[in-house]
Amino acid sequence: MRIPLSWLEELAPLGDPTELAERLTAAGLECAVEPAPRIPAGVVTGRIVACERHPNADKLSVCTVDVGDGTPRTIVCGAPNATSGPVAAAALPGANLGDFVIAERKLRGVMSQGMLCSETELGLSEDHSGIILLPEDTPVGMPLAEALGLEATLVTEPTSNRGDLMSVLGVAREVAAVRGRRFTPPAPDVPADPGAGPWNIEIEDGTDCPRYGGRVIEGLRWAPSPPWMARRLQAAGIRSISNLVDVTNYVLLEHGHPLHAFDLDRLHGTRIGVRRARPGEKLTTLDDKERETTPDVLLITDESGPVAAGGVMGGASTRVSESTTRLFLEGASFAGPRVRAGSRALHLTTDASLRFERGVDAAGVPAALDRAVELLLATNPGARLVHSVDLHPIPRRPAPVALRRSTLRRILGVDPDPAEVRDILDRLGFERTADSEDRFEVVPPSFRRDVTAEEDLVEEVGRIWGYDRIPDRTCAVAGVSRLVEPRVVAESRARHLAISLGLVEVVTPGLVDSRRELEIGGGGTFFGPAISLRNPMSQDRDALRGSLLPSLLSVLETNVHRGSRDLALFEVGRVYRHTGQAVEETLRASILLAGHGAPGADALGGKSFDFFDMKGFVEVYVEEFWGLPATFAERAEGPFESVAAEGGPVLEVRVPGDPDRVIGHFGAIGSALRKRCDLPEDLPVFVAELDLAAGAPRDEVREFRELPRYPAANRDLALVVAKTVRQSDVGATIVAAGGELLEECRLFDVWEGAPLADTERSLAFTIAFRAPDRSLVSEEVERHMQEIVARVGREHDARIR
Amino acid sequence: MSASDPRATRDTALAEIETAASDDALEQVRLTYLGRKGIVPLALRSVASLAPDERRAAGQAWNEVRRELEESVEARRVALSDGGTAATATFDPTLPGRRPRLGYPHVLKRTLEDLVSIFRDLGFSVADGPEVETPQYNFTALNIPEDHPTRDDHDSFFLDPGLLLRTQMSPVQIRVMERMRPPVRVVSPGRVYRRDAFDASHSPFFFQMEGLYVDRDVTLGDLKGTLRIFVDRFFGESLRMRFRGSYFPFTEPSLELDISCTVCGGSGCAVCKHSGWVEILGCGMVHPNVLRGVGYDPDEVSGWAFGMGPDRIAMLRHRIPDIRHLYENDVRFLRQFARTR
Repeated sequence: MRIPLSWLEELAPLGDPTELAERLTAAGLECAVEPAPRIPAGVVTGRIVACERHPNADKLSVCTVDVGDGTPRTIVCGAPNATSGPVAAAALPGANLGDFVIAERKLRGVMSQGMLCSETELGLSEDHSGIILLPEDTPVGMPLAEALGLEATLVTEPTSNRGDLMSVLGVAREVAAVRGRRFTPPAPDVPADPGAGPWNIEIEDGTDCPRYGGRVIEGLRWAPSPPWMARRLQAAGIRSISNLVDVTNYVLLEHGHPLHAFDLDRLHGTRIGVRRARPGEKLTTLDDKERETTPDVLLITDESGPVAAGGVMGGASTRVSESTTRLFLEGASFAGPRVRAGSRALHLTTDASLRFERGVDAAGVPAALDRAVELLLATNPGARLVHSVDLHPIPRRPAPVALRRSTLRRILGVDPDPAEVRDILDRLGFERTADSEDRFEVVPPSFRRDVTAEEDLVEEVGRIWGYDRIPDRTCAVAGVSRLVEPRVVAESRARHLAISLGLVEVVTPGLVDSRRELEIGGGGTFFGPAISLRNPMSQDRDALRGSLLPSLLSVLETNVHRGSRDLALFEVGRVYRHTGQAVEETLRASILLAGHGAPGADALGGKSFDFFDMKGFVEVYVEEFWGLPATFAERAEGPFESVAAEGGPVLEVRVPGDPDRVIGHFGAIGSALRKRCDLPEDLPVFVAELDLAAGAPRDEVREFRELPRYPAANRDLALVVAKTVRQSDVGATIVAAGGELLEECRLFDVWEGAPLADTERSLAFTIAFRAPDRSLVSEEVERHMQEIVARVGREHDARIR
Repeated sequence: MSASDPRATRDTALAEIETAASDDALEQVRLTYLGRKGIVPLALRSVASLAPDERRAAGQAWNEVRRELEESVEARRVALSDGGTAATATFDPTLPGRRPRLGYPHVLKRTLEDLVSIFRDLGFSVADGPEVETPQYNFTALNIPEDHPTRDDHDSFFLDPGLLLRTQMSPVQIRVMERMRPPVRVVSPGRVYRRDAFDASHSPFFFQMEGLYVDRDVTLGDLKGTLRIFVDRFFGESLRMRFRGSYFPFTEPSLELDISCTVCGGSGCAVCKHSGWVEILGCGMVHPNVLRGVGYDPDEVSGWAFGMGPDRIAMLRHRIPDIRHLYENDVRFLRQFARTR
């Protein structure tokens, strides 16, 4: 909300405005002083004494403008609202509008001696619908800033619980409170209550509309508002329209109560209804749009049907116009939730609806209506108040609330002087009903519906007394937390393990495109399906992910398309799956390797990632995370197919001890996916995904084991086997045949080619034997070696190379 | 080749050894002089045919030559394998090193780690909870009224049956308090979701970190003191702080904390929208209704809570102008913030 400082000053002394803004902000009303807009020199008021069609252009007009110096200027203008009579903002040659300097120039053959300005051109607002037009009685030749009454304003952003601060009076009360003063709002000066006469209000449901009041005023005449009111509205950011309309806007700003004026001559009968819309009812609103209603919409009706959407917008049929002489002025309190629902149903948000949503004080309705009557009578000589109605089906008497001094001490950590506490409560409008040194009982003012309990009073005292006066204290060490969360520990270990493997972390959105997820995951149990959102914002983020891989592939796609091909990335994050009525969230790790292993090392013979690089990452990751070696099995089919295809085999990862449980997969991405992501043919890409919830991470506390005291005996063994024989099988045979003293068996070379047959290859192992209590003699080692050679010969048809 | 003069043989052989340009060439030289039928062994054998008074001196001389040549050959072999002597060097030490790949965390995760570690030092532990929540935990237990706008489809993501993606980390506070009695001292970092359009400063998914401290005699003074330590450690000690009143349904009183702008120092710039202040977190004293809801007695214990946005804080700290960078994962962006620890 934007409040002209002069308006506020009339109600409460401000002191230094900038310092005041700081005080209000600290007390919970965020605000700032905005200096008056600066209007360039040379922009003055000028009456459009004549306005004719431009001879050579349909959309331009040629205006004769009197700027008070006896020499009318010819100004060409393109605005649709240019017309003879009113006073406009004229920028004369030499005026510097920032982007350009006004000069005399020919426009389509007519010499233009200046420019008539819109608000946008002067930097006053975004409004460029037409030129600025001022009331006809505005003096000409006056600097525009003076004519518009531009002044500094306080721009406020109240929190959603403080509907009372959406008004000049409310802010003035807050100003008085932080300045240490009492505040009494001025009482409107109005004639005695004339009674309801024939008027009758019917409210269907008092919870939708706790109060509905009206005033009937006759003898009005449509005219420009008095300059002081027009300027004040303008400074507050509201365009002045006419006396009849401006009054409702003025009271809206001052009291925070949205009022609505019906043209009484267009209203049928004297029975006003407040009820929910019925199926199929339509209403044409003030903006001339016909709107469908739903039963969420609250309608105001006369004897002919709907005439307004309560709390949102009036209807076009009863609109106030230049011919209006009699008004029915509505002042009501509509329930916030009802107005919000109605506003949603109508797809219409207005200044009024926003205020009702925050809560409008039913008790303030008469004062707002009276103030409007006062202003209308004052600006319309001969006008009379004829009738007055007020229906208040559910009056509210706020309940008293007690504040203990001990609570203040316990929550704020300070013990303010009781006299000061009483003073603060008084200044904020609380009515004290019972009092002692240790306990204060108050009834909150009707406009403070946010205050219902002791804690609310603690806040009131704290914010006005001053949070900055509360001394800092550091919490006592006695309360150290004893909470340990396994998933937090697992996530941290999983991330730091990946980082120590030289992988770069990515963080991708948990929301994914379910179609893409399905394409990549194939709908299998490990990779999907994603969980759909009921109300996604867009189709490309319509579900919670069932796998980390689609997101990781998106990261790959982004990077490759931007020229980064060498990638070694990981993510540790959650995936989501329905389990009955609940959703299970499990932690997973994904790894992506693409391009070269060591970027920039090409000059020294760097090498591209291959299948076994990824296998190595998975092996180390599994061993380090769970403390158990992984086993692998090839997948013939299944959901990973679309990822893999001919890029290489896809391996399932399992941990020993639970051979049925697949804890992950890895492989190369296939050609179909490569095409869809538009990846170059020659770029190697490998992906892996591991389910980190598959078991407890290895225990961090490890026991010391004695280091070997005696040397190992190492033997190399090169075997020739058929290519169909798996290395892992040969290795397992060696370990099985090597006896207890075999410590390690490691493959160190694979070789194919002459003089071996095409169907053969050589596998070279290095085998270490060690005894814990002695040095081994070679006879003992040879005996084991002979046994090994014999067994691999028998079982794998292997011969020594 | 005559081998009568050990000294001459030695000089010739040494010159040939020194100029041998490869292992093969060196081996040829070695065979010529030291091989089984080489010049030096033949000479040694011929020593036997010399006069007895000459034998001893000649034998000593040739043995000396053999030893010297063997050493030279070995030295030359080492030199060749090292890349050659200066005269024949091809070694270029300016070639680039083979750089190992560096692993490092995402800037957002590292920000979270830094935030968490400060509170760990203050005796807080990390609490965890689900991202898919029930309205009970996400709203009701947090004293958010039934008709509050944040409950509708417009602001929060819903999924069936009747579940939603948490819009803040506060449900974790409820779950922690349900599991344990005071003292409770936790921080909870994690992902949250809101139906905000994706633009430079908004994202429908982002991170939050909340803190909660409940015990006997916990006051607003503790909150202020703790956050002072946090700001000093995370942003540096020169910053000014400003608490101002605010409103959240789950705290009373509610406050927001601003710090003097880290970019302009408070004189006003685009980052702080020319106010000199940037908002970094919301906080307050836990609402008694929240405490009652988890079975705590608000007349016995009290507590404070705060919540901040690590995305925003990372952006502020590293001057990242657009939140979308954080979720795009362009490696050129990630690399800018590489720091392993």
